[in-house]
Amino acid sequence: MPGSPITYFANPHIITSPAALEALKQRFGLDKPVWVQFTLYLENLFSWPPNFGLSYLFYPTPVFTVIMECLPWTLFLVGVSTIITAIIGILIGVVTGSRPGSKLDTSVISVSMILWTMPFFWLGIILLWIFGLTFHLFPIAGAASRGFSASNPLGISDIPDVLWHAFLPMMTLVIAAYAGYSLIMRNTMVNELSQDYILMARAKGLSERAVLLGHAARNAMLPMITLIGLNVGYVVSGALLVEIVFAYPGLGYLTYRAVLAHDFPLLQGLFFIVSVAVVTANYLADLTYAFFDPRIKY
Amino acid sequence: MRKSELITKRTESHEVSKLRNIIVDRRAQIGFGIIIVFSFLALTAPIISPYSPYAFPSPGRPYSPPSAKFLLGTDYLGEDVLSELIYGARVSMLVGIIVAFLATTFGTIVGVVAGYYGRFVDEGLMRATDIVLILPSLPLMIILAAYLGPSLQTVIFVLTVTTWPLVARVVRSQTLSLRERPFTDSERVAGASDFRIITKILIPNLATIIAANAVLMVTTAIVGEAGLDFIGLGDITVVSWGTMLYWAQSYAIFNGAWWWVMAPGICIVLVGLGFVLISVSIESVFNPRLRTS
Repeated sequence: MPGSPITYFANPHIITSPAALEALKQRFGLDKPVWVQFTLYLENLFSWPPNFGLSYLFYPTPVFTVIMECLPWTLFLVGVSTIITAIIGILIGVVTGSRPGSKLDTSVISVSMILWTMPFFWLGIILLWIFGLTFHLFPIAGAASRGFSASNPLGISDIPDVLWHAFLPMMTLVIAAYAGYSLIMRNTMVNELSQDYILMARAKGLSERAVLLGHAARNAMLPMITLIGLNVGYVVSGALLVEIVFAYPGLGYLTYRAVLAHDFPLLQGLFFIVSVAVVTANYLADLTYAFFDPRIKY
Repeated sequence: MRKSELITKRTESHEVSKLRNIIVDRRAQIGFGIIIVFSFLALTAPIISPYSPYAFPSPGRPYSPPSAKFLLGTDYLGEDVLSELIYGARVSMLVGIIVAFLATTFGTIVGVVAGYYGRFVDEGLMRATDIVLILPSLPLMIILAAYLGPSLQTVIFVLTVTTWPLVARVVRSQTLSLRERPFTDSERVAGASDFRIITKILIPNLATIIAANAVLMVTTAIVGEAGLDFIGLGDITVVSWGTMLYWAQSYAIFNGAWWWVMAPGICIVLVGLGFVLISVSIESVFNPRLRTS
């Protein structure tokens, strides 16, 4: 990383006096050896509330406070769209996987692949344009019609309005991400349907519906749990871009503003919080897997 | 020694016949068709593009819709969108291929070494791989790009850093199974060095899976590059599909310039799809299990 924090925080063309720079260095602890600085950083990280320093953009609000205000919006966006995406992807995978090679299968796979390569933000711009600007069906920016803050929070009566605002960003995430699930679910279904226990189930005279849903799909779902966990990082990355397009007040839009304002403490804090969230999601997915598959023990 | 060479030879001729299968595969034909067209556009950009995308004064009026003079219209400065697309193909293809090459090379080395030597080498390398793999890629790219400053080199570096673990994982798991095969054992018994086993036995046998991943990596890199440019972390003075969308995001939609938004997005999807089709084709030809009726 080039330069020291001082060169970002205090413009050397304005603060020219060496004594003033020295005072700033002491103020930020930059005169201490690097390992002392690092222990201080860790100490601040593990205190409560974690101390990531002060944001430049929202000076003098602590970075942690700024992030906590935006975090719920991203959790909402990513959480709800992950559930919808997984359900739609699994359903499409079951339908196409039970008729591999059919016309339906090949056409759905082709469409899925096109949507899968589509950049999240471009899809967002297109949806925003069609449904927001041309037909005025959905709002083009923000998370709610009225202003809100910690002292003036949104209530239960605002739920329809919030959902209305979240519809387009969520639809973008679902359309761009469902293919990841449906393509893998399809392949697992094809694999499961060729197993002996399926032949056995058919020989017992079970209905096709029971064979597909009760036997094949149930087993094919197992890898999906791991995939949902692994995909959280991907969806979070997508959500960050989609939030920028829809000016949605979550972590992505905050990251964008932090980049534009060169707010390095805020960027570092954001990266840390997002990473912790993604790692936690993966850990939970692993635990869930062990719950559903008794062969796995940790 | 002689026997193992025979085996290697036989697998090679086997691979050649498989290559023929790829060439006749419909998906690969479409994929190669798209890539050849866009490579041609990128290579001959100064000759075939009707205007220079950096022309000053600009050739047309701002926000002109598509016409005979400007086939895909003009942008907010009056620059020709078609010329920008053709020049943008250079950046996208270049970044895509360089990143895929670097990430594949580095990922393969890490994966083969971890898989072949096993034990603590494997543990160490794979834990490092997992750490990078699990970190959300876009925030990691953003923070790296923000510190390194916006430029094409930054974009290439950042994309390489975030994509190599995918290759390392795949290559390692394949190496683990190849290491236990009889032809590797016979080479080892014959006294071959580790370096010889890795370069003469493991890498040739891993070639297809590496190729399929490398081709897929190009798509990942092209979409990733567009995303970074879109946020303004690339070099916004260079014309690329991502920077076109960066400017279009602020100016196009409120001026009804749909051609300016549609064109770069469709190009990204087409090129991305081209590489995905080739990758899928390579995989299905070499992995018959995916071809189940």
